[in-house]
Amino acid sequence: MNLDLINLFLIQALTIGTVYLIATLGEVLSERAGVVNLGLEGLMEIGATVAIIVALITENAWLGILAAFVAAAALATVHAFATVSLKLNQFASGLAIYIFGVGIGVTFRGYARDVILGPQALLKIPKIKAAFTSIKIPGLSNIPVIGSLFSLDVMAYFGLFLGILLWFIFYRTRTGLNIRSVGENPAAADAAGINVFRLRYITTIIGGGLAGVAGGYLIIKIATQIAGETVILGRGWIAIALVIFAFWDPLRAIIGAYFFGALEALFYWLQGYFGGATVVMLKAVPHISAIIILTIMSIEALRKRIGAPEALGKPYSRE
Amino acid sequence: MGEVSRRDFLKGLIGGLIVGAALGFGGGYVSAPAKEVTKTVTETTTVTAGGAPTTVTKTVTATPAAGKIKVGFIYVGPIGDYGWTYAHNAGREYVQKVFGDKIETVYVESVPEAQVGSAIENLIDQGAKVIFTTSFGYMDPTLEAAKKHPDIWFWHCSGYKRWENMGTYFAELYQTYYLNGVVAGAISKTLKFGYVAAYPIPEVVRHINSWVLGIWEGLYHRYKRGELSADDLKKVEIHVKWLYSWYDPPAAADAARTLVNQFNADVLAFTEDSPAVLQVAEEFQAQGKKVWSYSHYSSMIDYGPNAHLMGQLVDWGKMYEYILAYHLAGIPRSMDLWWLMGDGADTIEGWRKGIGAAYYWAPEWGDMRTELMKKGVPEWAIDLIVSKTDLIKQKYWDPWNGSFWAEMFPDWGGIIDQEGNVRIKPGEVADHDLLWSIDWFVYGIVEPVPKG
Amino acid sequence: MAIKIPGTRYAIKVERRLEIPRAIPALVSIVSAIAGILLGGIIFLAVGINPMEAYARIGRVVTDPEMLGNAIEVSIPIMFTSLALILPFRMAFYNIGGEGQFEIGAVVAMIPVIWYWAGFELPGPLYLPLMALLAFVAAGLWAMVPAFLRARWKVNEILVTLMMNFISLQIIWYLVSPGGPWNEANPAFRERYLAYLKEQGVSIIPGFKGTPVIPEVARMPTLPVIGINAGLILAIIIAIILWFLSTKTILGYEVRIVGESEKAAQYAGINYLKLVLLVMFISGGIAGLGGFVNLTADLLKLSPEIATPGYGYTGIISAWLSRLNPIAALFVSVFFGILTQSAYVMQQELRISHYVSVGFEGLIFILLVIGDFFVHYRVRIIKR
Repeated sequence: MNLDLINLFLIQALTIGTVYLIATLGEVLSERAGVVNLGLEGLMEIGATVAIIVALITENAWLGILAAFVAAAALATVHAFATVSLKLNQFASGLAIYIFGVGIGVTFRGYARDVILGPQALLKIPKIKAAFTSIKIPGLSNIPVIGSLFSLDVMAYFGLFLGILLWFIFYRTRTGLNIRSVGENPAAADAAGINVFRLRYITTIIGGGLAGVAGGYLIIKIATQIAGETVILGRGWIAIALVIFAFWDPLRAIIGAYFFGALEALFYWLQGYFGGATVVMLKAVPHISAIIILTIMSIEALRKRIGAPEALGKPYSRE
Repeated sequence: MGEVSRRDFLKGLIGGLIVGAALGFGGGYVSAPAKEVTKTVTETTTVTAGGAPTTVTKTVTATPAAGKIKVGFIYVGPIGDYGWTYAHNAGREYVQKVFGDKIETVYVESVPEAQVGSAIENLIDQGAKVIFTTSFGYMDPTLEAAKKHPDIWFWHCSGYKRWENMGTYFAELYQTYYLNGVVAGAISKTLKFGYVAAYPIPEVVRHINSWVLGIWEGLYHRYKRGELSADDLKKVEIHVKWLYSWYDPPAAADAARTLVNQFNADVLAFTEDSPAVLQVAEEFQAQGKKVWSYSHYSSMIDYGPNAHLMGQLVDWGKMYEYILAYHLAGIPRSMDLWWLMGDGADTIEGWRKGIGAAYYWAPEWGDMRTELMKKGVPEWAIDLIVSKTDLIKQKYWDPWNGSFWAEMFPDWGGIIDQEGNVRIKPGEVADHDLLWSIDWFVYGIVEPVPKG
Repeated sequence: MAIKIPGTRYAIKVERRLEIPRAIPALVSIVSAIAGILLGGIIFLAVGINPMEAYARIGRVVTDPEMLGNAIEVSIPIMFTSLALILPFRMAFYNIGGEGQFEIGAVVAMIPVIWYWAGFELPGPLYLPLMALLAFVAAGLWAMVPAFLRARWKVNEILVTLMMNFISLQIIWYLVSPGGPWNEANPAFRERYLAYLKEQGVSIIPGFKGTPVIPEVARMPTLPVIGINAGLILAIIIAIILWFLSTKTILGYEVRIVGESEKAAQYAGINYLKLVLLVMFISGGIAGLGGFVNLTADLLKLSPEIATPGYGYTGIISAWLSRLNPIAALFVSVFFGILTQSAYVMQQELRISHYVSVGFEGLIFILLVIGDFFVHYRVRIIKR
């Protein structure tokens, strides 16, 4: 087997995986503090819309990504307000964010193309895409298999760094311990003097913002389009399955995201070796695995070892 | 009280129940549209489109359109997206311009197939007398609507079911794919080619095959000119990746990247509804790797100015003009229009006839010869497609012609499939039914057609 | 809890309601729907469209009987997906899987049609009842999976039902993709389907993503006079049955007790496992019937397109907005049907993507969720 080919495959898998990774890490962050956000799909759609519009106007991909973060974080603030301050049902609020995000994200993208940007804007696409050109680290990038890890673009390194950073924060810092205890037992955390509400707000907002970044990266790096049609197409739900798949752990999220990225790339690389309709079923793997893991996890002893946040989905109230 | 107004009344009644007395009950009944009274007269109507060669002159007994004819269009995607729906909408704008105040066009975009029935009813409500439904998936609901509304005319794009008041129309791209393939064969350095395809259905298989036959002709001429050896021809590979979706830009982009990464393909063609594949080619160009691609249905050149060769484009406007001319003349009839690259003169319906709606070069791209040569397409290849274009338009020649291939590649002995079996023998030309149900790949494609 | 309003002598006092007045939830629903529409006006302003123009379109759909008829037609699937959620939501079992149950219903309802094309024909009048029964049972069983997981191992039902939605869609993809077992080009259907197509002047099966078309014998009839498909009657009957079930039977009583407190239900001797399995069987079954109606009245063949409108998700909002009252759910579904229809009219006349109706739905949903706060808490301004 050609080793260069393996590298090329892995680069592709890692690039797709990066979209999942950033969104998943955002969700891990907020779920670790006890807030489930089912709105990822909508936040990513909003992020994609804002990122492409801002990037094309300013001709700067980074401003686009930044704007995507801000826009998605703003919408996540609504979720935080509803679930942390008003203590409302997190799942319902998340679904509402999802539907709203997709509706508004798609509406505005179509409108932007027709009215704000105009077709000439398309000519700027190569320029903004250039920001995400892969950086080949000389020497290292030629090593078989491992080399692929050294030929990625900045966002992919950012995702990797973010995963390690989150792990470090969770398990090696005071703040991380606080976040985890808020997700585990908010009453005890509160009694210990931790500001439960503030922590949940911060993690939910940053987590939502990261979903926006993932959407922005998807639309700029993987497939640039500015039409009134959805572009996320279920990838946000896969990220939610991934959080479960990764057992709420940032390092496992890295592995899981890259694994699902590889699975998606395999869908194309394996064609010709397997029948068509059979390959279609590959797309259900993330969802099926999430259900299985959820079930296994329900066994008490295992759950303790896996470390799912105990207070996940439960609003905290002092009364 | 007549049948129709009773229906209106009951609908008003239901509305009343729902929105309460304040909004619905009386309003629904009162605002029921008055039915137009039509009378039958005999008259001669001539409709001449501005500059275009569509003239229908007939003396008939007809119901003249009182004022404007309202024409409705139903699109499956957003008009803002390049590709299929964008091209149909350009066609709508064109007929509106040509027929001016004789017609009024309205449209609905992004209509899910499950809701097309009510979209049709809505357009009828607004007074549409002619309705174009522009997605294959709309076929059965359109047929149902045609049976239900005998006074309204329906035209379904790309389907095969017709009714007394329902016709079908389609612009077929296999000839343009063929000529696109000739250029691909002429420009490729790696001799590896890639195709991103939506679904393994006959339409797509036909397009892939035609493109591949074009590639073989391009390669043959390079071989004849001594640029390629017989061994080189043995190295030729064409790879196909399936999306199982008409519209998923990230997936299309990934499939295209796979074709370049996995097989080193340097010309990419596609059948799906986004410019993602062309974008990927442009991405590789930006990195200094020569990868080429096309426009599909409408000009996508802005998405990849450096990687863009030519395209498979459709002028739906001409088809709409032709169809609507019959309506304006008051002599509509159910037809099956299947237009290819026509010569602009033939106006008889049917297979391999028609004015011509498919083309491969848009005027706004500039002069074809200069532009293609700038990108490195050899001059002989351009000459070749120009002369082939004339032959195809006049219907003197068709790529699906066994003798042609038997002559060019004597060891093929006709058009052969992946296993080398002769499928189209010398003296045979593929007919409509064969091309419409084709489920095998021509020689050179590596992966089989997916089956189960 | 009291929050001072700076600079004044007043404060906002928030108290938990000990008892929720009957009118409050309904009031919150109505306010959310209206406020959602009004706030949506801001979206229009943002893109430079006069909101009044948009509202005029909604008004037109409501007052034009033909358009209203279409809106009702579109709302029929939503009626089923929202009715399906009423019992489980009442017992605080959050079934988000209406979408998947709807799809499974359509898949299984298709079986007699597949037999038909494969050469096994049933007596004509049997088709619709049999397909409805199959849809109900299969979707009910499908919905019992998350119920069992939750009752037995406390697995979060929201995540499980959500993930199952994607699995059911992949099942459809598998069945109908070219080369798949139910694809119209399958040689098993060839002879009969081709004969059927030939009557319509067609000599070829193109093998597109989708099954063969449903033959006339197995199609949902249209109601005389009002011209809406008969699924409407089915939805109304189900709404009445649900109303009866939840107010007049032991099942309804038990559902209510569990919804108030699972612990209390335990003391009252209610078998949670049995109850949740039964409720989810009914719930999935109703959603499945929706899929059956959508298939036989609108789609006329099984294809992944069934998922495009997202009826299952709209049903969640609709059920919530109707405060789990089955009769109200019918009308709320029509409200969403009107929104969808208006979006198409707006799109044609105001040049705005029809996704704007999805935005409206989301907005109303967000307000509804936030409005829940006012259901449970009393907010007053008091003098300090």
